[in-house]
Amino acid sequence: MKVGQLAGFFVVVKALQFLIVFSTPVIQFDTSTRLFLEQLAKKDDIASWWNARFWNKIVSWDAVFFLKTAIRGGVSEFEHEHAFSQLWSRFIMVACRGNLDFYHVLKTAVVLENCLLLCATLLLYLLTVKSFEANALKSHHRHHLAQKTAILFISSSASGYFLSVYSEPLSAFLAFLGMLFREYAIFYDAYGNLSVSWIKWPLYSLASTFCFTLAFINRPNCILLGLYYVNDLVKLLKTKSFGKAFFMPFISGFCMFCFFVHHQYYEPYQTFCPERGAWCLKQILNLPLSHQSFYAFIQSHYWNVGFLRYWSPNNIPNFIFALPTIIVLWYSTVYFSHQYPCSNLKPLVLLTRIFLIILIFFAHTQVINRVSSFIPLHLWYVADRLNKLNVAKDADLKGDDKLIRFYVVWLIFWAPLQTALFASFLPPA
Amino acid sequence: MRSPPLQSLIIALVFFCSHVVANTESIMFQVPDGFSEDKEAWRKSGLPILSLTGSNRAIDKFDVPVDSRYEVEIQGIHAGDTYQAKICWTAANPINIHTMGYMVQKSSVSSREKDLRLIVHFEVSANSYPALKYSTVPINVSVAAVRMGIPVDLYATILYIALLMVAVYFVNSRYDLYTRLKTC
Repeated sequence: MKVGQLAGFFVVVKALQFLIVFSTPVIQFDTSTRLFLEQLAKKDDIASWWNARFWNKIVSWDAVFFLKTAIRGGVSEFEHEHAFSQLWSRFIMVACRGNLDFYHVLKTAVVLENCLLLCATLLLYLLTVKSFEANALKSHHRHHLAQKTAILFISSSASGYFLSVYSEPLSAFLAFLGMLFREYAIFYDAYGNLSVSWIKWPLYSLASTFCFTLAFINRPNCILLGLYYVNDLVKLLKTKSFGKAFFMPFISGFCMFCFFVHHQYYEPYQTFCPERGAWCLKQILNLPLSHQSFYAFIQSHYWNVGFLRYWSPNNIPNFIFALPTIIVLWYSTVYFSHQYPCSNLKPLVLLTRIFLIILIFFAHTQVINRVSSFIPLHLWYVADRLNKLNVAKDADLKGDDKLIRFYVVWLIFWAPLQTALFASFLPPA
Repeated sequence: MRSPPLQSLIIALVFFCSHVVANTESIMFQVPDGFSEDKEAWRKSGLPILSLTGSNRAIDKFDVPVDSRYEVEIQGIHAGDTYQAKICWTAANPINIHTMGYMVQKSSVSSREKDLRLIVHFEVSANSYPALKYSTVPINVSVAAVRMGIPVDLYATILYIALLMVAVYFVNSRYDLYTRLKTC
């Protein structure tokens, strides 16, 4: 494995992005960073040469929430701040080892973020090699595929945000690790039936469940990773492996579901109700649970997130920003369902489709560029087409390959543009 | 007449930026042609003041009371010119901004009939649970002249982004990054 080469590529890309941030004009479009800094940092520090020209520029958009919570000891001040991972903020706080000076926290968070992203990249490499092991690819093809996938992940549609303090790299790391544990635990027999050996129970039911649950606690959209267990449960029940079905996917999925209920319903209810009113009033059968998840309530109440609420003319530019990622994600599900069907990728195909529906119809759609980072399917699609095109030596691009070329060229322009927009505190967020 | 593509793109970007739902609200306004300021009366104005005298942009921080309407008098502006007024607040202070607008009034402290003043106003309301503890929140109010449809404080950023894109184009043309990725 070319770990050194990948790490080298990572360092070069990040160095270029940091250079873009450094070169961005000091005056940002949104001047609120200055107000935020004045509340949390020392006046002399704010104006220092490096802080003014570099560090202050990456305190944009959601980074503010993570930094504020980390400095407050990992505890959110307001209800809506619970939409931003407290796990990630606490992780930053612990890494600061008691020194909660603003710039120390910021620098620690940026170092952590980039280390996590590098680790996620290397895990994705391993996951790609493992996932395509059963799919009749020769070893060197798999390694080429893994290398391309890792390169695409480093320079992904979210790479501009991941210079700063966002929680997605932690979720990507945990999701890839969980997927890898599951891949090592399962195998497909000669008839294409899913099987899991008892000896790998800890890997499947403990390790992967732990990773997926943490990924979900960090980013609620990662609850979709539970679809792996739903898929496996159905597959094992079909082959009448009832014992394995119960002790592996059922137990794992049930644990995730319990954590989901505790994290999104029970715990917020205990914290905020009944004083909060509103959300607390919609109880289920007089139980200490509301019928709406806490995250859904916050998104709806504070950011007007809901079915088709984002579909208004003024958001057309945001949909355009999201379009390349939406198209490639959708085509990747078609590709791995019909053109290159792989049994072990079926749950990921399902996950990606549901994720797309949620992001297009229920969310601020442009965030798909960022929050899709825990899904590797579209990266595999692009990497696989590039691999095949390279082997075929065919100069004429058709169908998918034209799309892939467009997507790659878009990424080449988008990654630096997004970095500059982020440093200028300009949309899209 | 058709606008050149680059200018159309820039205007589209500015339009988009002006409608962002984040920590910024902005409006564009044109100063009436007959607008005249009584410079002697400036100091007597009871309102908070943002002055553009000698500059085409200005920014200042104001401590704005929560759940009330706030007005800032803009001084040093020129008749017939278009300006963008922008208010920014930090996400650490959960507030909403409503009814941002501007008005032109006769100067209350000037004796001359033609002396006017331009006021930018907005309403601040708290939007959090638990309720915000502070009675005021810091808000940046900035005003910039608009030239060729673009606020002057965005010129440097737009120029930088344009140069960056040109640089990426040349690097990609020179090294064909797509082919390199395909063959790696």
